[in-house]
Amino acid sequence: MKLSLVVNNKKYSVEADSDTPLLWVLRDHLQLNGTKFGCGEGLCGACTILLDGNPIRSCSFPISSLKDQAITTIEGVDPNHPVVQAWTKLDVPQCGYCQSGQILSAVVLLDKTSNPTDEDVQSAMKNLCRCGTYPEIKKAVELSTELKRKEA
Amino acid sequence: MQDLMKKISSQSSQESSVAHTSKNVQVEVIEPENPSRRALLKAGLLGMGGLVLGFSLPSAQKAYAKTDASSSNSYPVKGWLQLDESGQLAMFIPVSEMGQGSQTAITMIFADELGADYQKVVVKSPINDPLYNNPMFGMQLTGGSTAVRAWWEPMRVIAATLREMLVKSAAKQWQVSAKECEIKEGMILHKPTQRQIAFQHVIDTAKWVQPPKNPTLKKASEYRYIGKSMPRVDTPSKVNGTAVFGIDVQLPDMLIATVAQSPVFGGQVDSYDEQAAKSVKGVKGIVKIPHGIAVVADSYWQAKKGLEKLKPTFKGGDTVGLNTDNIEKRLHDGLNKSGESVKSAQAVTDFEHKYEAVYSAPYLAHTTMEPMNATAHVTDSHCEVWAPTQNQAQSAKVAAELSLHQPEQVTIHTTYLGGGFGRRAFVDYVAQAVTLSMEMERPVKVIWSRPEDIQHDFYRPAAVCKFDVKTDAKGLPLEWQTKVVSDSTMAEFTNGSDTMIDGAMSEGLADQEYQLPNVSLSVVREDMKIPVGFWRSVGHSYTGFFLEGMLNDLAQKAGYDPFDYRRALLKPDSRTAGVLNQLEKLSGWKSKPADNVGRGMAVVESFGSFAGEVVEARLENGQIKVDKVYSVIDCGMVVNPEIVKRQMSSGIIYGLTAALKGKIHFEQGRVQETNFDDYPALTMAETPEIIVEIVKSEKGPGGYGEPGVPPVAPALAAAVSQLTDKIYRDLPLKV
Repeated sequence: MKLSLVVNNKKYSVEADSDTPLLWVLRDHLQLNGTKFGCGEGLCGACTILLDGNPIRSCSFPISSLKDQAITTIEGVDPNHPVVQAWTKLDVPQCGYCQSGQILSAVVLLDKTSNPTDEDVQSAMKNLCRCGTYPEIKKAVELSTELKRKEA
Repeated sequence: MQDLMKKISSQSSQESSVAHTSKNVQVEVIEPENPSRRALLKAGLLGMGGLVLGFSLPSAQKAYAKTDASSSNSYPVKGWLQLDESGQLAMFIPVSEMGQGSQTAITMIFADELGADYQKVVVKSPINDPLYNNPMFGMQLTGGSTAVRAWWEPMRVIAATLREMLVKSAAKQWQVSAKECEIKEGMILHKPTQRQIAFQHVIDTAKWVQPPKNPTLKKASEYRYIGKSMPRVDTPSKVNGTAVFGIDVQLPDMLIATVAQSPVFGGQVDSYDEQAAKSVKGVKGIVKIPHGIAVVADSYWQAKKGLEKLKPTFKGGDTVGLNTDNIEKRLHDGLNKSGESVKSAQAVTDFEHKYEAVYSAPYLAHTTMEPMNATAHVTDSHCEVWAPTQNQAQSAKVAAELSLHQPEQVTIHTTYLGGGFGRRAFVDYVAQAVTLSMEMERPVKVIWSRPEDIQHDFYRPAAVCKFDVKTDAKGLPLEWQTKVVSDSTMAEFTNGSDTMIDGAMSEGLADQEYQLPNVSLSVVREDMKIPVGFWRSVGHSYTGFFLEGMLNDLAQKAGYDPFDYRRALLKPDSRTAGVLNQLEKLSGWKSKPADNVGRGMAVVESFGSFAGEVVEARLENGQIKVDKVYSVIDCGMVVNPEIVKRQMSSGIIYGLTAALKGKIHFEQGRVQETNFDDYPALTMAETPEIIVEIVKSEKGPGGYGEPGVPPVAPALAAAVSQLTDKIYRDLPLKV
């Protein structure tokens, strides 16, 4: 199918099979490689992106289900976003492979919750990390909440 | 493990390993090679033009520096330092970065000794070349928690040599004595006149400077970066999505493949529907590979759909009929074999108590977040590979063999690794990429699905261990017999014989600092034909659980506190005792925990370091909930404390996943687990609070990527025992 999509405020037109998961359109067609392939079944969260600000697992989301939503990938996250600042300041990544997905999950959490509790953080941040950066992710979410509050 | 690595390297075509000493500095001219620059640009892996300064250790006569600023085809280069016209300094850091932070630690060492500005340095992964051989292994391989241990001295010698060459070159230009000059924050300074000059203005003449035979290393008091928690060099690209992992490599004209390998190990493809697969849009080829078949297409999704239509079936194999029950029976039966004796002792006849206990640990997969993948471009004149690999040496060897090229026609580019944990010391994915590129006569990237990754791992081998311990009236050991039954990871790695016994099978069981009397140790190899490999902390991943578990058992039986019991077996000035004392304090061990909290501890020496952990756990709805882990590591002198702490925390979480959830099952010779739903990893919600302290030490650096793993399972088992009054001798823990 011919598909037009808006990724990070940029318009693209691609030709891909309708059952192609959005992940592979982003990676193989648009060369937006920041979004990662981890499990192919929506289990690990490495492929997390935002559709109109809501997180989805793009490895299991066929492009035929797109309804003109605005797509945000890691490449579209403002480098000055409090989440990115916090992630950088605390040197969160180890291998880094899951971090695009982690960051996008945190961006949503921050958008939707001004003062997240531990439970909010745990339920929003279900992305897997085999390096075990969870303690630093937790701290970075706290710091980004603080940074956002200061910004406001 | 290191001795065996050295053995392999001497068998391989790599340069032989010679100790790196400052007395023996070799310098040689290294010519740049000439691959496709355009392709490299696309991959985001382009080297700068500019001047390359390099030499290999040890022993050497002539200096080299290569000016290639005007050349557009100057990559790949082999050297240590590269400057472009603007003075941007790039350092080639000879370790794979897989999250462990070694690239950062070694950059700190390099920049500090050289006098470069750490914040302004560009860091690159070098290509394959014996120049970058891991000094502890004698081959280009990242593993065994060796990066800082291996490079600590050689990297400083290299940097000091470069520094003195640059200084001499500047001094000559200024016509002053080199003794009056130094390098400060990336500038060469003539102290009496305060004149300064940047590296790029002297590097052209630096190449004619005879490298010093005995460069003077800086004193610890002169370090600006070493010992400080400098920010990681890889953070910026890992928070904005631009870091290039293997799976991200893009080349012009590239195809993408995915594979199905025989689910029974060593089996062959039997039948497949080539027509059906080729009817899928974008599918460009069906290629048989050893023990499997690949579908090559324009995109991953088309390749995957092609593979679904291909419906390959398989026959035969080495593991036909194997299932978890008969594997475990064979391991336990192995305890009745005599095995190979590693240590032997006289039997003690005068004793008070006799205890025996059998422990077990299962097969484990690595599940790196980035599934196995590699990219290759084979032409008549060259074989070029981009791979997230820990093992450039073996990658190059395999690529040369398969592509029928000479070693010098093979280039291995190392990308970031989306996790390694030992899995990527094996290079099966590299072999596939090379084969597929040859077959398709185009660049090909091969990407495995997650089920393929889990079902075709080099697994942590299962192991069973029996202790027979005789004690005195106080419960302290008089005789300590150990027998361990497992498979050999080194045999897999080196194509060793079916009967080969390697040190990693029993490492840690009889070589800890405990002063155990009359120790005997024997090792039985049971080769199940299941591929086995290095899993974070290798043999220690199970021997730590066995030995520390047994010590906890014995302490409890003897009515000892587990810290006191161990101290009774240790010299008071031993490093293990030091860790125990600090851990006891840190964890508040002497104050009683809450009634519903169980506590356990363990301490393990591995990879040149000593790590102790205390675990606090509860039962929540019948499930184990780990609340807190206290940890102390003595890893000698520390380059970057924060990275050490993060690696300890990382190892603890990796070890907890295994202790609580990890087990690979087999049925009819096939792995049953397929993805993160049936082979789960610890989540944030399950992650305990982790507190890490580092012992202050001026001893030589030890490892820290792996030592966090071994103590956590036995400490957790002891904690859960307090809650249930049962003893846990089998992993994963089931309450």
